[in-house]
Amino acid sequence: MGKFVTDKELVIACLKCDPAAQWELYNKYVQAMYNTVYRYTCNHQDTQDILQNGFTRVFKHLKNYDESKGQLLSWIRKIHVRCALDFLKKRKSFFEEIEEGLALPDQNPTAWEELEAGYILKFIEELTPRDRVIFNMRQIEGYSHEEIAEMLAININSSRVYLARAKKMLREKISAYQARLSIVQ
Amino acid sequence: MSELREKFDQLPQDFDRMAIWNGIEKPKRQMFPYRILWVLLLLIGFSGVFWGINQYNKSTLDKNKVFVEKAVPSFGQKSDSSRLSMDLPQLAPIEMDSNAALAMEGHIGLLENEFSLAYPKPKAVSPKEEASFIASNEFFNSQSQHVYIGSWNLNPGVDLSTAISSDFYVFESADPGPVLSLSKVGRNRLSIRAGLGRHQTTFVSAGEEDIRWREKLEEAQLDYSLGLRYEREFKHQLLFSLSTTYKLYKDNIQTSYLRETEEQKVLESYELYNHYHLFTAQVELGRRFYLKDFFWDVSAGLGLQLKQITETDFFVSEGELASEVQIGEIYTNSRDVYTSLQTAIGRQIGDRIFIRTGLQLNSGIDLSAKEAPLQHRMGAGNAFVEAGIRF
Repeated sequence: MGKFVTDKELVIACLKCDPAAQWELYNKYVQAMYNTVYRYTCNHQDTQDILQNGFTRVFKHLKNYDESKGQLLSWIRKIHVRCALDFLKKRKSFFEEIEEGLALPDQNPTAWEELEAGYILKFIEELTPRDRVIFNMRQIEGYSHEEIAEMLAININSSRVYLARAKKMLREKISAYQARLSIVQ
Repeated sequence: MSELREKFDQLPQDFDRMAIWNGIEKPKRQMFPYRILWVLLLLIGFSGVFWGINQYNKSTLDKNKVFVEKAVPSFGQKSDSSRLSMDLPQLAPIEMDSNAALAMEGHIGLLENEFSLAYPKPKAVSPKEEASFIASNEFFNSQSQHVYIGSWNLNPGVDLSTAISSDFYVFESADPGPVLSLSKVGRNRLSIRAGLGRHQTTFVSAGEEDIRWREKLEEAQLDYSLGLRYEREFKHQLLFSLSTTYKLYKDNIQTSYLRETEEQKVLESYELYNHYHLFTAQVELGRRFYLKDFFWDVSAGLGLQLKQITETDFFVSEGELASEVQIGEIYTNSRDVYTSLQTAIGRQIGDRIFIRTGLQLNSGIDLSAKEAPLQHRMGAGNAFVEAGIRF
Protein backbone atom coordinates (compact mmCIF):
# COMPACT_ATOMS: atom_id res chain seq x y z
CA MET A 1 0.00 0.00 0.00
CA GLY A 2 1.45 3.30 -0.99
CA LYS A 3 1.63 6.51 0.93
CA PHE A 4 -1.12 8.11 -1.14
CA VAL A 5 -4.54 6.55 -0.79
CA THR A 6 -6.33 8.20 -3.71
CA ASP A 7 -5.26 9.25 -7.17
CA LYS A 8 -6.23 12.80 -6.28
CA GLU A 9 -3.71 12.87 -3.42
CA LEU A 10 -1.13 11.32 -5.69
CA VAL A 11 -1.66 13.92 -8.40
CA ILE A 12 -1.53 16.81 -5.92
CA ALA A 13 1.75 15.50 -4.48
CA CYS A 14 3.19 14.99 -7.97
CA LEU A 15 2.27 18.54 -8.87
CA LYS A 16 4.33 19.62 -5.87
CA CYS A 17 7.24 17.65 -7.39
CA ASP A 18 7.27 15.18 -4.53
CA PRO A 19 9.66 12.46 -5.76
CA ALA A 20 8.00 9.78 -3.61
CA ALA A 21 4.67 10.56 -5.27
CA GLN A 22 6.24 10.53 -8.73
CA TRP A 23 7.72 7.14 -8.03
CA GLU A 24 4.42 5.83 -6.67
CA LEU A 25 2.45 7.05 -9.66
CA TYR A 26 4.95 5.47 -12.00
CA ASN A 27 5.05 2.22 -10.07
CA LYS A 28 1.27 2.03 -9.88
CA TYR A 29 0.63 2.36 -13.60
CA VAL A 30 3.76 1.17 -15.34
CA GLN A 31 2.67 -2.43 -15.73
CA ALA A 32 -0.69 -1.56 -17.26
CA MET A 33 1.00 0.92 -19.58
CA TYR A 34 3.65 -1.60 -20.53
CA ASN A 35 0.96 -4.08 -21.52
CA THR A 36 -0.98 -1.42 -23.39
CA VAL A 37 1.99 -0.20 -25.39
CA TYR A 38 3.32 -3.68 -26.01
CA ARG A 39 0.04 -4.59 -27.72
CA TYR A 40 0.84 -1.91 -30.28
CA THR A 41 4.53 -2.51 -30.78
CA CYS A 42 5.03 -6.20 -29.90
CA ASN A 43 8.61 -5.24 -29.21
CA HIS A 44 10.03 -4.92 -25.71
CA GLN A 45 12.75 -2.40 -26.49
CA ASP A 46 10.36 -0.12 -28.39
CA THR A 47 7.89 -0.42 -25.54
CA GLN A 48 10.46 0.71 -23.01
CA ASP A 49 11.39 3.71 -25.15
CA ILE A 50 7.73 4.67 -25.57
CA LEU A 51 7.10 4.33 -21.85
CA GLN A 52 9.94 6.70 -21.06
CA ASN A 53 8.48 9.22 -23.43
CA GLY A 54 4.94 8.55 -22.20
CA PHE A 55 5.64 9.02 -18.52
CA THR A 56 7.71 12.10 -19.27
CA ARG A 57 4.62 13.55 -20.96
CA VAL A 58 2.45 12.41 -18.06
CA PHE A 59 4.56 14.30 -15.53
CA LYS A 60 4.86 17.29 -17.79
CA HIS A 61 1.13 17.64 -18.44
CA LEU A 62 -0.20 16.39 -15.14
CA LYS A 63 -1.46 19.87 -14.32
CA ASN A 64 -3.90 19.51 -17.21
CA TYR A 65 -5.47 16.36 -15.82
CA ASP A 66 -9.13 16.95 -14.97
CA GLU A 67 -10.50 14.44 -12.51
CA SER A 68 -14.09 15.16 -13.55
CA LYS A 69 -13.38 13.98 -17.10
CA GLY A 70 -12.26 10.50 -16.19
CA GLN A 71 -9.97 8.28 -14.20
CA LEU A 72 -6.26 8.92 -13.98
CA LEU A 73 -5.57 5.49 -15.49
CA SER A 74 -7.59 6.36 -18.60
CA TRP A 75 -5.84 9.69 -18.96
CA ILE A 76 -2.41 8.10 -18.65
CA ARG A 77 -3.42 5.38 -21.08
CA LYS A 78 -4.53 7.92 -23.68
CA ILE A 79 -1.16 9.60 -23.48
CA HIS A 80 0.65 6.31 -23.91
CA VAL A 81 -1.51 5.22 -26.82
CA ARG A 82 -0.76 8.53 -28.52
CA CYS A 83 2.94 8.06 -27.85
CA ALA A 84 2.78 4.56 -29.31
CA LEU A 85 0.98 5.86 -32.40
CA ASP A 86 3.47 8.69 -32.84
CA PHE A 87 6.25 6.15 -32.62
CA LEU A 88 4.64 3.86 -35.19
CA LYS A 89 3.79 6.70 -37.54
CA LYS A 90 7.47 7.53 -37.82
CA ARG A 91 7.86 4.29 -39.70
CA LYS A 92 7.19 5.09 -43.31
CA SER A 93 4.07 3.82 -45.02
CA PHE A 94 2.80 2.35 -41.86
CA PHE A 95 -0.77 3.38 -42.56
CA GLU A 96 -2.09 3.17 -46.04
CA GLU A 97 -5.37 4.66 -47.05
CA ILE A 98 -7.90 2.15 -48.21
CA GLU A 99 -10.18 4.18 -50.43
CA GLU A 100 -12.23 1.45 -51.97
CA GLY A 101 -12.16 -1.10 -49.27
CA LEU A 102 -15.34 -2.58 -47.98
CA ALA A 103 -15.92 -3.07 -44.29
CA LEU A 104 -17.60 -6.40 -43.87
CA PRO A 105 -20.29 -6.66 -41.25
CA ASP A 106 -19.35 -8.72 -38.24
CA GLN A 107 -21.19 -11.95 -39.04
CA ASN A 108 -19.93 -13.99 -36.14
CA PRO A 109 -19.27 -11.68 -33.23
CA THR A 110 -16.70 -13.13 -30.90
CA ALA A 111 -17.07 -12.82 -27.15
CA TRP A 112 -13.52 -11.51 -26.75
CA GLU A 113 -13.99 -10.97 -23.01
CA GLU A 114 -14.43 -14.68 -22.49
CA LEU A 115 -11.09 -15.54 -24.00
CA GLU A 116 -7.85 -15.66 -22.12
CA ALA A 117 -5.82 -12.50 -22.49
CA GLY A 118 -2.55 -14.39 -22.73
CA TYR A 119 -3.29 -16.19 -25.93
CA ILE A 120 -5.28 -13.37 -27.49
CA LEU A 121 -2.13 -11.31 -27.09
CA LYS A 122 -0.17 -14.03 -28.82
CA PHE A 123 -2.56 -13.89 -31.78
CA ILE A 124 -2.56 -10.10 -31.79
CA GLU A 125 1.22 -10.23 -32.12
CA GLU A 126 0.75 -12.24 -35.31
CA LEU A 127 -1.42 -9.57 -36.96
CA THR A 128 0.08 -7.06 -39.33
CA PRO A 129 1.06 -3.82 -37.54
CA ARG A 130 -1.74 -1.85 -39.14
CA ASP A 131 -4.46 -4.37 -38.31
CA ARG A 132 -3.07 -4.72 -34.82
CA VAL A 133 -3.23 -1.00 -34.12
CA ILE A 134 -6.81 -0.62 -35.34
CA PHE A 135 -7.94 -3.72 -33.46
CA ASN A 136 -6.34 -2.44 -30.26
CA MET A 137 -7.80 1.01 -30.60
CA ARG A 138 -11.31 -0.05 -31.48
CA GLN A 139 -11.79 -3.36 -29.78
CA ILE A 140 -9.73 -2.93 -26.63
CA GLU A 141 -9.34 0.78 -25.98
CA GLY A 142 -12.84 1.57 -27.18
CA TYR A 143 -12.12 4.43 -29.55
CA SER A 144 -14.76 5.15 -32.18
CA HIS A 145 -13.88 4.85 -35.85
CA GLU A 146 -14.14 8.62 -36.10
CA GLU A 147 -11.59 9.06 -33.34
CA ILE A 148 -9.33 6.44 -34.85
CA ALA A 149 -9.53 8.09 -38.24
CA GLU A 150 -8.65 11.42 -36.73
CA MET A 151 -5.77 10.12 -34.61
CA LEU A 152 -4.22 8.12 -37.43
CA ALA A 153 -5.07 10.64 -40.13
CA ILE A 154 -6.86 8.06 -42.23
CA ASN A 155 -10.42 7.92 -43.42
CA ILE A 156 -13.15 6.17 -41.47
CA ASN A 157 -13.61 3.54 -44.11
CA SER A 158 -9.98 2.49 -43.85
CA SER A 159 -10.40 2.09 -40.14
CA ARG A 160 -13.44 -0.14 -40.60
CA VAL A 161 -11.70 -2.29 -43.19
CA TYR A 162 -8.60 -2.76 -41.08
CA LEU A 163 -10.73 -3.73 -38.11
CA ALA A 164 -12.82 -6.20 -40.06
CA ARG A 165 -9.67 -7.77 -41.46
CA ALA A 166 -8.07 -8.00 -38.05
CA LYS A 167 -11.15 -9.59 -36.53
CA LYS A 168 -11.39 -12.09 -39.34
CA MET A 169 -7.76 -13.05 -38.97
CA LEU A 170 -8.09 -13.39 -35.22
CA ARG A 171 -11.22 -15.47 -35.46
CA GLU A 172 -9.52 -17.82 -37.88
CA LYS A 173 -6.51 -18.15 -35.59
CA ILE A 174 -8.66 -18.72 -32.53
CA SER A 175 -10.81 -21.29 -34.35
CA ALA A 176 -7.73 -23.14 -35.52
CA TYR A 177 -6.31 -23.06 -32.04
CA GLN A 178 -9.54 -24.35 -30.50
CA ALA A 179 -9.74 -27.09 -33.12
CA ARG A 180 -6.20 -28.19 -32.27
CA LEU A 181 -7.12 -28.20 -28.61
CA SER A 182 -10.19 -30.37 -29.19
CA ILE A 183 -8.11 -32.86 -31.21
CA VAL A 184 -5.57 -33.11 -28.42
CA GLN A 185 -8.31 -33.60 -25.83
CA MET B 1 -14.18 -4.43 -23.75
CA SER B 2 -13.01 -2.94 -20.49
CA GLU B 3 -12.98 -6.41 -18.98
CA LEU B 4 -10.61 -7.63 -21.67
CA ARG B 5 -8.49 -4.51 -21.22
CA GLU B 6 -8.24 -5.18 -17.49
CA LYS B 7 -7.12 -8.71 -18.27
CA PHE B 8 -4.44 -7.34 -20.56
CA ASP B 9 -3.37 -4.79 -17.95
CA GLN B 10 -2.75 -7.51 -15.44
CA LEU B 11 -0.69 -9.74 -17.71
CA PRO B 12 2.68 -10.28 -16.05
CA GLN B 13 5.48 -8.72 -18.06
CA ASP B 14 9.15 -9.01 -17.35
CA PHE B 15 10.70 -5.61 -17.88
CA ASP B 16 13.21 -3.36 -16.20
CA ARG B 17 11.28 -0.79 -14.22
CA MET B 18 14.34 1.04 -13.03
CA ALA B 19 15.80 1.40 -16.51
CA ILE B 20 12.58 3.03 -17.73
CA TRP B 21 12.28 5.15 -14.60
CA ASN B 22 15.81 6.42 -15.02
CA GLY B 23 15.01 7.63 -18.51
CA ILE B 24 11.93 9.60 -17.52
CA GLU B 25 12.28 13.33 -17.17
CA LYS B 26 10.49 14.28 -14.01
CA PRO B 27 9.70 17.81 -12.88
CA LYS B 28 12.06 18.77 -10.15
CA ARG B 29 11.41 20.76 -7.08
CA GLN B 30 13.03 24.14 -7.49
CA MET B 31 13.75 24.67 -3.88
CA PHE B 32 16.94 26.30 -2.94
CA PRO B 33 17.26 24.78 0.58
CA TYR B 34 17.41 21.28 -0.87
CA ARG B 35 20.33 22.21 -3.04
CA ILE B 36 22.05 23.74 -0.08
CA LEU B 37 21.46 20.54 1.88
CA TRP B 38 22.85 18.45 -0.93
CA VAL B 39 25.93 20.64 -1.26
CA LEU B 40 26.41 20.43 2.50
CA LEU B 41 26.23 16.65 2.37
CA LEU B 42 28.80 16.66 -0.38
CA LEU B 43 31.08 18.91 1.59
CA ILE B 44 30.71 16.76 4.69
CA GLY B 45 31.50 13.68 2.64
CA PHE B 46 34.58 15.17 1.06
CA SER B 47 35.86 16.72 4.26
CA GLY B 48 35.28 13.41 6.04
CA VAL B 49 37.49 11.65 3.53
CA PHE B 50 40.25 14.27 3.80
CA TRP B 51 39.99 14.37 7.56
CA GLY B 52 40.19 10.61 7.72
CA ILE B 53 43.28 10.49 5.54
CA ASN B 54 44.96 13.06 7.75
CA GLN B 55 43.97 11.19 10.87
CA TYR B 56 45.24 7.97 9.43
CA ASN B 57 48.60 9.43 8.49
CA LYS B 58 48.89 11.11 11.86
CA SER B 59 48.01 8.01 13.84
CA THR B 60 50.36 5.88 11.78
CA LEU B 61 53.22 8.25 12.53
CA ASP B 62 52.33 8.34 16.22
CA LYS B 63 52.13 4.59 16.39
CA ASN B 64 55.50 4.18 14.78
CA LYS B 65 56.93 6.56 17.34
CA VAL B 66 55.47 4.49 20.15
CA PHE B 67 57.03 1.40 18.75
CA VAL B 68 60.39 2.97 18.53
CA GLU B 69 60.13 4.02 22.12
CA LYS B 70 59.05 0.59 23.22
CA ALA B 71 61.63 -1.17 21.20
CA VAL B 72 64.53 0.52 22.82
CA PRO B 73 64.32 -0.85 26.36
CA SER B 74 64.53 -4.58 26.78
CA PHE B 75 61.94 -6.46 28.71
CA GLY B 76 64.23 -6.51 31.73
CA GLN B 77 63.75 -2.77 32.15
CA LYS B 78 60.20 -3.39 33.33
CA SER B 79 58.74 -0.64 31.21
CA ASP B 80 55.51 -2.44 30.46
CA SER B 81 55.53 -5.26 32.92
CA SER B 82 55.75 -2.83 35.81
CA ARG B 83 52.65 -1.08 34.49
CA LEU B 84 50.84 -4.35 34.29
CA SER B 85 51.95 -5.31 37.78
CA MET B 86 50.68 -2.04 39.10
CA ASP B 87 47.33 -2.43 37.39
CA LEU B 88 46.76 -5.98 38.39
CA PRO B 89 45.82 -5.65 42.07
CA GLN B 90 43.30 -2.93 41.28
CA LEU B 91 41.16 -5.28 39.22
CA ALA B 92 39.08 -7.94 40.83
CA PRO B 93 39.84 -11.44 39.58
CA ILE B 94 37.13 -12.85 37.36
CA GLU B 95 35.78 -16.20 38.32
CA MET B 96 34.87 -17.62 34.95
CA ASP B 97 32.30 -20.27 34.47
CA SER B 98 33.53 -22.62 31.79
CA ASN B 99 30.29 -22.58 29.85
CA ALA B 100 29.11 -19.06 30.33
CA ALA B 101 32.45 -17.53 29.55
CA LEU B 102 33.31 -19.71 26.61
CA ALA B 103 33.37 -16.89 24.13
CA MET B 104 35.34 -14.58 26.39
CA GLU B 105 37.88 -17.21 27.25
CA GLY B 106 37.94 -18.29 23.68
CA HIS B 107 38.98 -14.88 22.62
CA ILE B 108 42.03 -15.03 24.83
CA GLY B 109 42.54 -18.64 23.96
CA LEU B 110 42.89 -17.91 20.28
CA LEU B 111 45.37 -15.15 20.80
CA GLU B 112 47.28 -17.25 23.23
CA ASN B 113 47.35 -20.41 21.19
CA GLU B 114 48.04 -18.64 17.97
CA PHE B 115 50.74 -16.60 19.46
CA SER B 116 52.44 -19.56 21.01
CA LEU B 117 52.70 -20.92 17.50
CA ALA B 118 53.81 -17.61 16.13
CA TYR B 119 56.41 -16.91 18.68
CA PRO B 120 59.13 -19.26 17.53
CA LYS B 121 58.20 -18.81 13.87
CA PRO B 122 56.48 -15.48 13.51
CA LYS B 123 55.58 -15.93 9.86
CA ALA B 124 53.86 -19.26 10.37
CA VAL B 125 50.54 -18.22 11.80
CA SER B 126 49.38 -15.23 13.70
CA PRO B 127 45.87 -14.23 14.53
CA LYS B 128 45.74 -11.40 12.06
CA GLU B 129 46.99 -13.50 9.22
CA GLU B 130 43.81 -15.48 9.62
CA ALA B 131 41.59 -12.49 10.12
CA SER B 132 39.62 -12.20 6.98
CA PHE B 133 38.17 -9.29 5.17
CA ILE B 134 34.84 -9.46 3.50
CA ALA B 135 35.13 -8.23 -0.02
CA SER B 136 33.29 -5.01 -0.51
CA ASN B 137 29.78 -5.74 -1.51
CA GLU B 138 30.02 -3.91 -4.77
CA PHE B 139 26.90 -5.26 -6.37
CA PHE B 140 24.81 -3.79 -3.64
CA ASN B 141 26.81 -0.64 -3.39
CA SER B 142 26.24 0.36 -6.93
CA GLN B 143 22.61 1.30 -6.95
CA SER B 144 23.11 5.01 -6.88
CA GLN B 145 21.72 6.14 -10.17
CA HIS B 146 19.18 8.56 -8.83
CA VAL B 147 20.86 11.89 -8.84
CA TYR B 148 21.71 13.35 -12.17
CA ILE B 149 24.29 15.79 -13.32
CA GLY B 150 23.71 15.56 -17.01
CA SER B 151 24.05 11.83 -17.45
CA TRP B 152 26.09 11.42 -14.28
CA ASN B 153 25.10 11.00 -10.65
CA LEU B 154 26.95 12.33 -7.67
CA ASN B 155 25.71 10.92 -4.40
CA PRO B 156 26.76 11.32 -0.84
CA GLY B 157 25.66 8.36 1.28
CA VAL B 158 26.30 6.04 4.17
CA ASP B 159 27.42 2.43 4.26
CA LEU B 160 26.94 0.02 7.12
CA SER B 161 28.13 -3.56 7.16
CA THR B 162 29.18 -6.35 9.47
CA ALA B 163 30.85 -9.64 8.69
CA ILE B 164 31.71 -12.94 10.31
CA SER B 165 34.45 -15.27 9.16
CA SER B 166 33.57 -18.80 10.12
CA ASP B 167 36.97 -20.43 9.82
CA PHE B 168 38.59 -18.71 12.77
CA TYR B 169 35.59 -17.10 14.40
CA VAL B 170 36.63 -13.63 13.51
CA PHE B 171 33.98 -11.01 13.81
CA GLU B 172 34.54 -7.88 11.82
CA SER B 173 32.42 -4.84 12.11
CA ALA B 174 32.39 -1.64 10.16
CA ASP B 175 30.55 1.33 11.53
CA PRO B 176 28.68 3.66 9.19
CA GLY B 177 30.90 5.83 7.12
CA PRO B 178 30.36 8.44 4.42
CA VAL B 179 30.44 7.34 0.82
CA LEU B 180 30.65 9.41 -2.31
CA SER B 181 29.94 7.94 -5.68
CA LEU B 182 29.95 9.31 -9.17
CA SER B 183 28.22 7.14 -11.70
CA LYS B 184 27.06 7.36 -15.25
CA VAL B 185 23.36 6.79 -15.86
CA GLY B 186 22.04 4.38 -18.41
CA ARG B 187 22.30 0.79 -19.43
CA ASN B 188 26.08 0.97 -19.43
CA ARG B 189 27.09 2.40 -16.11
CA LEU B 190 30.51 3.36 -14.95
CA SER B 191 30.94 4.44 -11.38
CA ILE B 192 33.71 5.69 -9.18
CA ARG B 193 33.21 5.36 -5.47
CA ALA B 194 35.15 6.61 -2.48
CA GLY B 195 34.33 5.54 1.04
CA LEU B 196 35.44 6.15 4.56
CA GLY B 197 34.49 3.72 7.31
CA ARG B 198 35.45 2.33 10.65
CA HIS B 199 36.84 -1.14 10.90
CA GLN B 200 37.05 -3.28 14.01
CA THR B 201 38.07 -6.89 14.45
CA THR B 202 37.19 -9.11 17.38
CA PHE B 203 38.41 -12.67 17.85
CA VAL B 204 36.10 -15.27 19.29
CA SER B 205 37.29 -18.81 19.63
CA ALA B 206 37.54 -21.71 22.08
CA GLY B 207 40.37 -21.67 24.61
CA GLU B 208 41.65 -24.07 27.16
CA GLU B 209 43.61 -22.34 29.84
CA ASP B 210 42.26 -20.73 32.96
CA ILE B 211 42.36 -16.97 32.59
CA ARG B 212 42.33 -15.27 35.97
CA TRP B 213 42.31 -11.70 34.79
CA ARG B 214 42.34 -9.93 31.53
CA GLU B 215 42.15 -6.54 29.98
CA LYS B 216 41.69 -5.90 26.33
CA LEU B 217 41.32 -3.05 23.94
CA GLU B 218 40.17 -3.48 20.38
CA GLU B 219 40.01 -0.10 18.78
CA ALA B 220 37.88 0.70 15.80
CA GLN B 221 40.11 2.11 13.09
CA LEU B 222 39.35 4.19 10.05
CA ASP B 223 39.32 2.50 6.68
CA TYR B 224 39.42 4.01 3.21
CA SER B 225 38.23 2.59 -0.04
CA LEU B 226 38.27 3.60 -3.65
CA GLY B 227 36.42 1.63 -6.29
CA LEU B 228 35.83 1.57 -10.01
CA ARG B 229 32.95 -0.37 -11.41
CA TYR B 230 31.38 -1.09 -14.77
CA GLU B 231 27.82 -2.36 -15.02
CA ARG B 232 25.69 -3.37 -17.92
CA GLU B 233 22.00 -4.05 -17.77
CA PHE B 234 20.42 -6.64 -19.96
CA LYS B 235 16.83 -7.59 -20.51
CA HIS B 236 14.91 -9.24 -17.71
CA GLN B 237 16.69 -7.14 -15.07
CA LEU B 238 19.92 -9.06 -15.57
CA LEU B 239 22.97 -7.19 -14.46
CA PHE B 240 26.57 -7.89 -15.33
CA SER B 241 29.30 -6.09 -13.46
CA LEU B 242 33.04 -5.86 -13.32
CA SER B 243 34.54 -4.07 -10.35
CA THR B 244 37.84 -3.30 -8.74
CA THR B 245 38.33 -1.92 -5.25
CA TYR B 246 41.29 -0.76 -3.28
CA LYS B 247 40.92 -0.60 0.47
CA LEU B 248 43.26 0.47 3.20
CA TYR B 249 42.57 -0.34 6.81
CA LYS B 250 44.29 -1.34 10.01
CA ASP B 251 43.76 -3.12 13.30
CA ASN B 252 44.81 -2.16 16.76
CA ILE B 253 44.38 -4.84 19.42
CA GLN B 254 45.93 -4.77 22.86
CA THR B 255 45.40 -7.58 25.34
CA SER B 256 46.84 -8.21 28.77
CA TYR B 257 45.95 -11.27 30.78
CA LEU B 258 47.03 -13.47 33.59
CA ARG B 259 46.81 -17.15 32.92
CA GLU B 260 47.38 -19.89 35.34
CA THR B 261 48.92 -23.22 34.46
CA GLU B 262 49.65 -26.12 36.76
CA GLU B 263 53.10 -24.84 37.46
CA GLN B 264 52.96 -21.10 37.33
CA LYS B 265 51.07 -17.89 36.86
CA VAL B 266 52.02 -16.00 33.75
CA LEU B 267 51.23 -12.38 33.05
CA GLU B 268 51.22 -11.60 29.35
CA SER B 269 50.68 -8.52 27.29
CA TYR B 270 50.06 -8.69 23.59
CA GLU B 271 49.80 -5.72 21.30
CA LEU B 272 49.12 -5.94 17.63
CA TYR B 273 49.06 -3.22 15.02
CA ASN B 274 48.41 -4.31 11.47
CA HIS B 275 48.04 -2.40 8.22
CA TYR B 276 46.21 -3.92 5.29
CA HIS B 277 46.28 -3.02 1.65
CA LEU B 278 43.56 -4.88 -0.12
CA PHE B 279 42.89 -5.02 -3.85
CA THR B 280 39.81 -6.85 -5.09
CA ALA B 281 38.68 -7.57 -8.63
CA GLN B 282 35.31 -9.18 -9.11
CA VAL B 283 32.99 -10.20 -11.90
CA GLU B 284 29.32 -10.65 -11.07
CA LEU B 285 26.03 -11.61 -12.59
CA GLY B 286 22.86 -10.64 -10.80
CA ARG B 287 19.19 -10.12 -11.17
CA ARG B 288 16.67 -7.83 -9.56
CA PHE B 289 13.11 -8.93 -8.87
CA TYR B 290 10.42 -6.37 -8.26
CA LEU B 291 7.93 -7.34 -5.59
CA LYS B 292 4.94 -5.26 -4.65
CA ASP B 293 6.67 -2.72 -2.44
CA PHE B 294 10.21 -4.02 -2.38
CA PHE B 295 12.87 -5.22 -4.69
CA TRP B 296 15.00 -8.29 -4.21
CA ASP B 297 18.51 -8.68 -5.57
CA VAL B 298 20.36 -11.91 -6.11
CA SER B 299 23.84 -12.18 -7.52
CA ALA B 300 26.75 -14.54 -7.82
CA GLY B 301 30.34 -13.58 -8.40
CA LEU B 302 33.88 -14.72 -8.85
CA GLY B 303 36.74 -12.67 -7.51
CA LEU B 304 40.42 -12.32 -6.89
CA GLN B 305 41.71 -10.62 -3.81
CA LEU B 306 45.28 -9.52 -3.23
CA LYS B 307 46.21 -8.50 0.28
CA GLN B 308 49.36 -7.11 1.74
CA ILE B 309 49.58 -7.16 5.52
CA THR B 310 52.15 -5.31 7.54
CA GLU B 311 52.09 -6.77 11.03
CA THR B 312 53.70 -5.12 13.97
CA ASP B 313 53.39 -7.27 17.08
CA PHE B 314 54.50 -6.60 20.57
CA PHE B 315 54.53 -9.34 23.16
CA VAL B 316 55.52 -9.44 26.79
CA SER B 317 55.43 -12.55 28.94
CA GLU B 318 56.34 -12.34 32.56
CA GLY B 319 56.35 -15.38 34.86
CA GLU B 320 58.63 -17.55 36.84
CA LEU B 321 60.04 -19.29 33.83
CA ALA B 322 59.46 -17.03 30.85
CA SER B 323 60.43 -13.44 30.38
CA GLU B 324 60.87 -12.25 26.82
CA VAL B 325 59.83 -9.61 24.35
CA GLN B 326 59.45 -9.65 20.62
CA ILE B 327 58.84 -6.74 18.36
CA GLY B 328 59.12 -6.23 14.64
CA GLU B 329 57.36 -5.82 11.37
CA ILE B 330 56.31 -8.77 9.29
CA TYR B 331 55.16 -8.41 5.71
CA THR B 332 52.76 -10.94 4.29
CA ASN B 333 51.18 -11.15 0.86
CA SER B 334 48.17 -13.30 0.23
CA ARG B 335 46.13 -14.16 -2.84
CA ASP B 336 42.56 -15.36 -2.54
CA VAL B 337 40.29 -16.67 -5.23
CA TYR B 338 36.72 -16.68 -4.06
CA THR B 339 33.15 -17.15 -5.12
CA SER B 340 30.37 -15.13 -3.62
CA LEU B 341 26.61 -15.34 -3.34
CA GLN B 342 24.67 -12.29 -2.37
CA THR B 343 21.06 -11.56 -1.70
CA ALA B 344 19.48 -8.34 -0.58
CA ILE B 345 16.09 -6.81 -0.13
CA GLY B 346 15.45 -3.13 -0.45
CA ARG B 347 12.94 -0.44 -1.02
CA GLN B 348 12.98 2.58 -3.22
CA ILE B 349 11.80 5.59 -1.29
CA GLY B 350 11.04 8.09 -3.92
CA ASP B 351 13.29 9.01 -6.76
CA ARG B 352 16.41 9.75 -4.84
CA ILE B 353 16.63 7.52 -1.81
CA PHE B 354 16.61 3.81 -1.29
CA ILE B 355 17.41 1.51 1.59
CA ARG B 356 18.67 -2.02 1.33
CA THR B 357 19.99 -4.77 3.51
CA GLY B 358 21.34 -8.15 2.61
CA LEU B 359 23.47 -11.19 3.18
CA GLN B 360 26.67 -12.22 1.49
CA LEU B 361 28.36 -15.61 1.57
CA ASN B 362 31.93 -16.04 0.41
CA SER B 363 33.95 -19.20 -0.04
CA GLY B 364 37.53 -18.81 -1.06
CA ILE B 365 40.89 -20.41 -1.36
CA ASP B 366 43.93 -18.63 -0.06
CA LEU B 367 46.49 -19.53 -2.70
CA SER B 368 49.37 -18.47 -0.52
CA ALA B 369 48.35 -20.31 2.66
CA LYS B 370 50.04 -23.56 3.53
CA GLU B 371 47.62 -24.32 6.31
CA ALA B 372 43.86 -24.09 6.15
CA PRO B 373 43.60 -22.51 2.70
CA LEU B 374 39.82 -22.80 2.59
CA GLN B 375 37.94 -19.86 3.98
CA HIS B 376 34.24 -19.29 4.38
CA ARG B 377 32.78 -15.97 5.29
CA MET B 378 29.43 -14.43 5.82
CA GLY B 379 28.54 -10.77 5.73
CA ALA B 380 25.26 -9.52 7.11
CA GLY B 381 23.36 -6.31 7.47
CA ASN B 382 24.79 -4.52 4.49
CA ALA B 383 22.67 -1.43 4.33
CA PHE B 384 23.03 1.59 2.17
CA VAL B 385 21.26 4.87 2.19
CA GLU B 386 22.01 7.43 -0.43
CA ALA B 387 20.38 10.73 -1.03
CA GLY B 388 20.73 13.71 -3.24
CA ILE B 389 19.07 16.32 -5.32
CA ARG B 390 18.75 16.07 -9.06
CA PHE B 391 20.29 18.85 -11.08
